[in-house]
Order: sequence, then C-alpha cells, then structure tokens
Amino acid sequence: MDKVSVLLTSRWNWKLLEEAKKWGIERPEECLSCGACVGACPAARTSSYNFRKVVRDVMLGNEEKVLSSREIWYCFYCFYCTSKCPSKVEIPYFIMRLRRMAIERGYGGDILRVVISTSINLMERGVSVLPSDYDRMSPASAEESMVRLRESLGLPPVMRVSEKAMEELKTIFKETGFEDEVERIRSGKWPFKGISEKY
Amino acid sequence: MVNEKWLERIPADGPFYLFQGCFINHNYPGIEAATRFILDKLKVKYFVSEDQSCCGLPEFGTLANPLILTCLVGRNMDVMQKYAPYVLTPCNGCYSAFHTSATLMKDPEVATKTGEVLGKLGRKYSHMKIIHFADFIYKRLEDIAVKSVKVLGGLKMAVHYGCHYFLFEEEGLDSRENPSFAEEIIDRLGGEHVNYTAKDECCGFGMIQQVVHKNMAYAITEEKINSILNAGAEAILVICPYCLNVLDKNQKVLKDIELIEKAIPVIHISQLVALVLGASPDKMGFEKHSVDVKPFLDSIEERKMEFKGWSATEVASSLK
Repeated sequence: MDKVSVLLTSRWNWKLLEEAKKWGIERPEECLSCGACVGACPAARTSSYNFRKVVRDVMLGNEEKVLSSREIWYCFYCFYCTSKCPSKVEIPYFIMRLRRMAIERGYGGDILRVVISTSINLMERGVSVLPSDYDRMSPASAEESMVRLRESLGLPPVMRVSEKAMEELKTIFKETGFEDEVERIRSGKWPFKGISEKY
Repeated sequence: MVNEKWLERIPADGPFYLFQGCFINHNYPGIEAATRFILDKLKVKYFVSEDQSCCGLPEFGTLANPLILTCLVGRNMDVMQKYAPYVLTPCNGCYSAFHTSATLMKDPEVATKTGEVLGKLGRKYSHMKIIHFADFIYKRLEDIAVKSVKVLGGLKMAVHYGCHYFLFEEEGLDSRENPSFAEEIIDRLGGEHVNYTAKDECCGFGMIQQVVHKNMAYAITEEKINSILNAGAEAILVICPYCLNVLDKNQKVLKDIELIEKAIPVIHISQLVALVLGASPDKMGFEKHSVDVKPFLDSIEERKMEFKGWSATEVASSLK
C-alpha cells in the first residue's frame, strides 16, 4: 500500500470518494489514521478489519479491492469508533454506504442470503421479526404459542399492520426498489460475484 | 452527567404515541406488558395504532437500502403525529431508526426520492421527537419511588445501555462517556449499581454479526460478560430488547462451553420498574428468558414503610 500517496490530495480518487460520501456522511477524508477507532472496534479485535485501510483504499481509488472484500461486512454498526474519533467521522454509516455500493456492483450475495428473512417478513406482514425467527418451531405453532403468551400477560394478540397500511407499504416496497432486490436475493437469481477473503 | 436540557424537554405526563416494535411484540411481550403497566400506574395517556409498521432499521442494517428506512420512518411519523406530539419506545433499534433516517435525509437525492414516494401515498415526511422509555422513567423516578411497593434488596446490578442509545447528540439523557442515569435508577430503587470496564462496549449483536460472523459476536459477548462478572454484578440491566436477547442467550451458550464462570439474569428496565411498582412476576414474560431470573426475583423485597416523627427542637426551629 502506498502510504505517501494518501497524504497527497492531488492523488486522491475524488470520483469514488464523492460517491462514498453520499447520505449526509461527513468528512471521511478527515481520517487522521490515528487508530482510535481500531482500538475501540469490536470487529478489529475479532477479525482482520481495520477501518484505516478501508478509508485509505477509498481515497486512493482502489474500488474493486474495497468493494469486493469481506472487510466491509465485519462492522458491528456499534458507533464506538465514532465516539472515539477526533474527526468525528461517522464510520458505520460510511461502511453501510460502501456495502450499498458493493451490492449495486453485484457483491455480497452470500451474506445477504442469510440475513434476508427480516426483509421477507416486512414484505409479507409489515413487521421485521416474527415469533418463529427466534424459536425453533414452525411459523404456525410459534405464532400460536406467542398469542397464548400475550393473552396470559393481558396483551392483545400479535402485532398486526392494518390492510390499509399494508397497501401503502406495498407502494413503498415497489417504488424504492426494495421488493425487486429482496426477490432477487431470495431466489438467488442475482448474478452475485463471490467476495474476496484476502485483503 | 445527566443532560438537564433534554430532561426538561421530556413531557412528564404525555400524551405519547407508544411505538410498537416487532422484536418486543413477537419475542419479549413481557417488556410490552411492563411498559404499559408503568404508564397505567403513572396515569399517563398513550396511543397505539395498527396503521403503524415496523421501524425499518433491520432492513437498512442488512440491505443498506436508505430509502426503505426513510420511507417507513417518514410514513410512521405521519401516522403517529395525529395521535400525540411525542413518540415513546423501550427499544434502542426503533429509537435509532429515527436518528439514522434523519442522517440519510441530509442527502438531497434521498430526501427528494423519499418525498416522491410518500407523496404517492398522500403523505409527507414529518419530524417528530422520539423519547426513549428509559428517559421517561428517569423523569418520573421520584413518583416511581414514592409509588413503589417493592425494593431491590441491595442487588448488585451492572447497566448495559446499548450502543444505539447514544446516537443522538443533543437528545438522550447521557453521552457514551461514562453514562450514569440508569445507575441512579437502580440505587434509588434499593439496588446497588456496579461499574465495569467494558460498559460502553457492544453486547455482541453487531446488527448482522450475530448471524453472519457468529464467532466474532460470541467473542464480544464473552468479553462483556467477563467484565461484568469481575465487577461482582448479580444481574444485568438493559434498556433494549436486542441487547437482552444477545446477553441472555449468548450467556447460556458461553456457560455451556465454560468460557464464562456463571450466567446471571438480564432484565429490561421496564420489567424492573414494573416489578417495584407491584406488577406480578408472572406477568413479565420471564419464560422467554434463557438464564433463570429466580436469583433476581428472590432479591426483591417488600418496601418497609418509613415514618419520620418530628422532635420538639425540629418543630421549634421550623416555626422560627
């Protein structure tokens, strides 16, 4: 890695950096490479993840290397880094932005496939977590047992989203491209490329 | 240091819209029962509606799709503002969905597209204040202490706030640097808080890591629990159902493979406060907890009434 180039803004790849800076994410280029984030990071302690390397590669325009790596999928989204960062870089949002860029370029399918269930639940019922997600029971019996438990606590049956609201949600799923994306991940038809384990 | 400015802004008597979160509703209904019990006990008016959907954070957290979050948050706020000016939630996930959405809306492209989609529903993105239920409990702590019928008989508790409580900079009662308001709640209700080194660390949930990179998630929970046990805590207090799930279930596994010495009960702040206010332990949904909560329940005692008589000198001095 070219450690000198990263100090010279004239060598930065602004096109990639500007794309990665969307969503109101402030100043990732203000990274001082001080390592306070890495010291705080739970992912850094348990994997090869090092945010300084990621942000450096974005600045230098090593697009393929960053977006095809497993590195960007290690973040715990805990914001401990941001609380320690002297430049207050919102690192987890920045990483989420990189994940979005990776997904749009066809990476991350294997990871998305194992976490897609909340999105399928949302499309079908308007809620992300169903009783069966955390109990080893069939969806029907998990729901039945949850209804019974809720009744014994004096609560109404399970959370329902009204038909009118479901109609509105369906428009949102369609218009935001969410439905299309979920369907493609669920069916495995998305021509996903594998991600690189080495960084 | 408690953020006095924010404390002043919390309406003590509501009315509130009580946000319906899927994880509490479908996994820890005891937290919902406890929350409603407390609001009823304090005679606070709250509303719920079936027109409200999920907060959208799980979808943003997995697919990194900004529009699904901003549209769901915007739509929900448009629904809820018709009921009450403030939203109340006992879940850090629902709480932080509002912050994340506000951050994403700073992008003109996201804001325009969100406006377009909501426009098709005849709705618009409206801003509402969200208040964490733990903040509300602190606001009404004195009333709660006065109305309480039980006390925590000196039980040693460690607080885990959960990362996403601290996302709002000017809102929320404490910052991530040594927060203390939940510790005050424990002490006021007859318990004894303990400090531990890994207080501001993640529980191990890691948004997708509990599923995608399990070994990493368990390693982080192990660090957290060992730090809590070293400090001598007998139970853990959380303010988020996801943290409850991870700390509770992972402890069971870590204990089985002998990476931690013992497993201790994990209790949500709503459950704790409802119990001291006289709620029945059978109605707190503890059957969904993996670690036995009996040691915690055993330490709860009847509150002894204290009467203070005035001495003659005190009467005399008060008359001066």
